Amino acid sequence: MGMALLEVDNIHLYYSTSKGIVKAVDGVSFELEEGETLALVGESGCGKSTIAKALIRLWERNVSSVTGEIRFEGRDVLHISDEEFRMQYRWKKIAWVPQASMNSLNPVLTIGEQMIEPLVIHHDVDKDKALMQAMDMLEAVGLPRDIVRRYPHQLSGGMKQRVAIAMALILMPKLVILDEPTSALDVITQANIMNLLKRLRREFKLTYIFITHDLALASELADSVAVMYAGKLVEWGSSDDIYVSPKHPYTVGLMGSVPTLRGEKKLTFMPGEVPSLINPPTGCRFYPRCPYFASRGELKGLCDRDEPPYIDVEHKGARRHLVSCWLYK
Amino acid sequence: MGLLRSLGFRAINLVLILIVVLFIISYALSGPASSVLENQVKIEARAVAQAVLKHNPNAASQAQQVYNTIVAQLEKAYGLDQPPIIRTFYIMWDMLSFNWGYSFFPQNYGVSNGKVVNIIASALPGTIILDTLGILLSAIIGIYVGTRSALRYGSLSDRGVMYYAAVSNGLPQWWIGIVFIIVFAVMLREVHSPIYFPFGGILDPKYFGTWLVNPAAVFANVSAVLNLLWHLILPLLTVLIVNIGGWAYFARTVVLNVAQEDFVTVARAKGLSENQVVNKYIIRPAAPAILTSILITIPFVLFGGFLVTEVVFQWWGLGYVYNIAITAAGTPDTPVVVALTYASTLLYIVIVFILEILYIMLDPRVREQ
Amino acid sequence: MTQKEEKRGSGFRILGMSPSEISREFFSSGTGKVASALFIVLVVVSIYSYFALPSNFGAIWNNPSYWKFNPDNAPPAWINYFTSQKLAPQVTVHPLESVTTYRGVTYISSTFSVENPYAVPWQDIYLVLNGIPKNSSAAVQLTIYRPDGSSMPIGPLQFSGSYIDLASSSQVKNQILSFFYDKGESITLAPTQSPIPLLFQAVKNGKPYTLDGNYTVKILVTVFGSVASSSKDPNFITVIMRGNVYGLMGTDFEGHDLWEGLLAGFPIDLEIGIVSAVITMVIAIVVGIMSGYFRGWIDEVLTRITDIVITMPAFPLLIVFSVLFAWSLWDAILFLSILSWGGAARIIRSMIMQIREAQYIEGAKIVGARGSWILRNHILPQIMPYSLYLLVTSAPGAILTISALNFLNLAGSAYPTWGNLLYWADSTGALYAGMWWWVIPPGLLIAFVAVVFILVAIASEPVVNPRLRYG
Ligand SMILES: Nc1ncnc2c1ncn2[C@@H]1O[C@H](COP(=O)(O)OP(=O)(O)OP(=O)(O)O)[C@@H](O)[C@H]1O
Ligand code: SF4
Ligand SMILES: [Mg+2]
Repeated sequence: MGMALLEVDNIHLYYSTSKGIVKAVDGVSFELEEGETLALVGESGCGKSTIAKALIRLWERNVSSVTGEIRFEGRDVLHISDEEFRMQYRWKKIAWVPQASMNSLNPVLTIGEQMIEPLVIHHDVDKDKALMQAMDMLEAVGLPRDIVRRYPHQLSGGMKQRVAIAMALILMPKLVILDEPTSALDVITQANIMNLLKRLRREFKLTYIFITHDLALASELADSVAVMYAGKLVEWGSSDDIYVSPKHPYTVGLMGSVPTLRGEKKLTFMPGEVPSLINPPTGCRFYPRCPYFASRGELKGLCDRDEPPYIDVEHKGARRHLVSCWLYK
Repeated sequence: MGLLRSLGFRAINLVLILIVVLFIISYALSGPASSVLENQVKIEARAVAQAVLKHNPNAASQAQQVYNTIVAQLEKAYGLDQPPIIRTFYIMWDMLSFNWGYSFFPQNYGVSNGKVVNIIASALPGTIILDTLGILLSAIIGIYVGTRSALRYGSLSDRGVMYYAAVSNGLPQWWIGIVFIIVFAVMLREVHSPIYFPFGGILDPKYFGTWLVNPAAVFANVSAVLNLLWHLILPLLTVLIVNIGGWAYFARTVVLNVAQEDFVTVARAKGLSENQVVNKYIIRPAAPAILTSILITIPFVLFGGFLVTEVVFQWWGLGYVYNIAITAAGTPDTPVVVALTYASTLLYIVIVFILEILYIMLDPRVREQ
Repeated sequence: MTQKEEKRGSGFRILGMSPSEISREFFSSGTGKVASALFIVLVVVSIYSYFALPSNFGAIWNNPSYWKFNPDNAPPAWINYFTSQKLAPQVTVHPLESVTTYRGVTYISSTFSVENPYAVPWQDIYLVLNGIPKNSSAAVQLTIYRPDGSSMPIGPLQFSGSYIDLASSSQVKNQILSFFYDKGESITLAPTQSPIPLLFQAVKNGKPYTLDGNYTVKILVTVFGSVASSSKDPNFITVIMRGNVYGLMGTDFEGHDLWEGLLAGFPIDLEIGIVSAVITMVIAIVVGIMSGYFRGWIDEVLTRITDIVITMPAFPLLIVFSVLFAWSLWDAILFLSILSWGGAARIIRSMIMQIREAQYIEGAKIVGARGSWILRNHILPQIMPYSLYLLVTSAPGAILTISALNFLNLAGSAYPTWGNLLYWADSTGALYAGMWWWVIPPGLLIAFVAVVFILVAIASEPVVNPRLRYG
């Protein structure tokens, strides 16, 4: 493999609240090749969207600290000036389809006005030309061209989702971050969007970070999978390895909960609740819910005390298979 | 098409309000307060009889006869010989057709012939000037201040604006007017300041006579207009001090909420500059919501605020005339009070309608379909 | 599953917060602390006023003769601390007295002394005599021993009624003028000018100036009859020296003690705020729940009505009804509340819509929960805090509206309200005369009460709106 398109190196992102510091992302590292699709998976609240926001450098107001490095094409983009990041990377190289992208459109502007803005700002294209490009892109995502003149409230949820995707692609970015692009949609629309994403990836040679809490859905698209738990990465590897032989007990649990039929799933199988990110458990954050920890005496005093290191386990896929669990030491 | 429909819908709603208000007043007048109406009839009849006497001082019996017939006619016209509910509709009709009768105490208003319509017509321009300028300026300044403050959420100036808005919401606007008069009219005079403001009034006496009969003539005269503006300063300042806070508060809340919307983050992610984000993605989507929240408080702002402020400044407008009608004669001048209620409701509804048109124009969710 | 649901529903959590978390959230901000402190002040003063003022205070206030001894339009006494020209304050003394009866004539004598450092001395002296029988006549003699060694005799003055007003007696005037005339000073007084200040002044070249020092006043009352039993009354003689400044808050045009008038306003304004807010809230909750919960035509009708109520202009209607039916304060409050629930009902309705959409109710429905159970366990706990918040926010509007009505001299009550104090100030021209002590405090207090409610609302906002909780 050549140089990675994106290297995320030990990033931390903390929020300050009246109750304390929320360690939403607490030391996460992974890499992404050009053309690769990484699925970022985990339960609700584990920090997936926060990573996405860190990648485009748009965190919430009450952020308390952001540390680590995010190297894009080898350059640390976390530490360049706001202005440079805005002009050089935003939308041009890194585009983003936010979670609940129903709300990603400004209700008082037409679709066209919102889509052409990046073209006008970054490529200095004149308005009419830009509108033509917007219409082409809408067509590419399977929408009628005249949608440019419509307002968001005149579109259905699925249409808005497609518009959000079309808007993300308008500058042909290197990397597209898709934050749960299908979670609010019905099953049929969900399937359509997934097919669209596959087609677009092929057509435009896109690199995706696909964020979801649904492992089965991720399997349709992902080349590699990163599993998060309570602000940390617990397992990362090629899809082939993760789906065939998941190593981390949490991943195994997630897999176990995947029903054969697609649909809205809840991870109710796993006893216990996601831990607090203000005072996370010491050692392995999963230990209060881990079946192995509960059943194996020798893990007591280890898992609940010391943080497990990342362990390189045997892999068949293109990527290394890393797992953070004392079972494999 | 959609635009016209929603406008029509709102217009119907407002007309409904007007009719409800009208009905309530008319019903009250027709039943419990019908003696008021009888009084009214006698005053009108007497006016005619006196006109007859003026013409021919010797025709006393003729005048009496005229008086009797007119009373009979008017009682019929007002439906005083009808059951209360029918009478209610007679009164409603009179109101709607601006047939508002005569003041009990016409000398208190200085408007010739004591016709209520004339009295109110003379007061309307004053109210319109103060209300329009007051609402427009406080909206512009308030929205500006509120937006700035929301964008500097948590800063010292933001807190300042917050507290100012909170306090100003609790200030009786008319009392601020009183304070201003004491400070800028009374005290400035006492300390022999070269500049001091008038105690009140809408114009100096030399122009006021013209204003009562023909306000347009006043506007043709530059020095009279300057005089009007001079009198306007304190009332307008009062209105602004209190109302800017309200607008700023609503603007701030709405902008804070809008600023957390995903589309704002997307706009930033698209690489828009902060200015563009603020103008296109925060203020514009916030505008309709700011307007709606203000719409709810408009009755309070207009009536509890503007009208009573007129009283303090003796500003010749609906509110001041209200005050005269209620207190000047010891007993209330009911025909004027009733007509004023109707007229001010009418004015209020026009203002609300204008704001709603604005709202519809600003919000495509209402405008398009 | 049902049991677990049930537990979570009935456990005391509101908006996912326990009461202690709520109070922590409320008090965590400076606003919360300030707001609660001010609210306590408001309540304490209201309670104090309730006990400090006589129960028939309304009747007293409206009885001008009760206030006749007070100076009119007098500023508060404490302005002396800020001015160089000291003004004599109102003084009331109950001098010790000795009573002797001799041959059917009762002699009551008493002495008191006052210090006079004031540039503008007292304007009048009233002698109030209690217990003189109606049918017997009486006469009063005074001697004033002045700091310069001179003494000024006044009287005997014929006594009738219940008091003597020295300033209005021409006999007193002549005696004072002749006192000075004897010393070679002639003074002219305007017909309405009180001679009483001269008692405390010396005159040089026709110009009176203050005579600093201690004055002793001897009073002898001769009653042609017996005053047997009431003579033991220690308040047989009351001397009231009418000042130029009065009490804590001064007086108005009728000599009303504004301090008492202002005090009386506290419980009224608090009641206006609370009563109207409670009525408003109850209607809003009932209407909101009905239209949000039942949907269908009920919702349709109620939403229509709500829309109308929201746009309905309450103030002019309040005026017209107060005029036509001479409404009292409470009529006006009731009517105002009946017209102000619209906004709150609309919000509650939309909240209920959202709660219904929320999945756990769907879940609860499936397992067969009854409507009342859902209402009690899911809907009420969620809307209650918000309703309380709305309650607090609707109080200031009511206070301001009613005060404005009072300012127009409508919706009156037996007690003086702050708005009504301002009406009298406005209609008697107090503001053009710069009588700030009469004009500023009532408005400040109206604003104070309204702002206290607003601050409580602001402090509770983060509790009901979790969006504001971060940061
Ligand atoms: N502005 C903020 N202030 C404080 N905490 C926050 C803030 N935003 C997010 N969090 C917390 O950070 C954690 C991670 O949030 P994040 O949105 O990244 O989760 P997620 O994995 O995307 O979950 P979901 O699947 O529900 O979208 C959560 O516990 C959340 O409560
Ligand atoms: S480290 Fe221990 S507790 Fe954590 S997942 Fe592995 S076995 Fe379970
Ligand atoms: Mg997320």
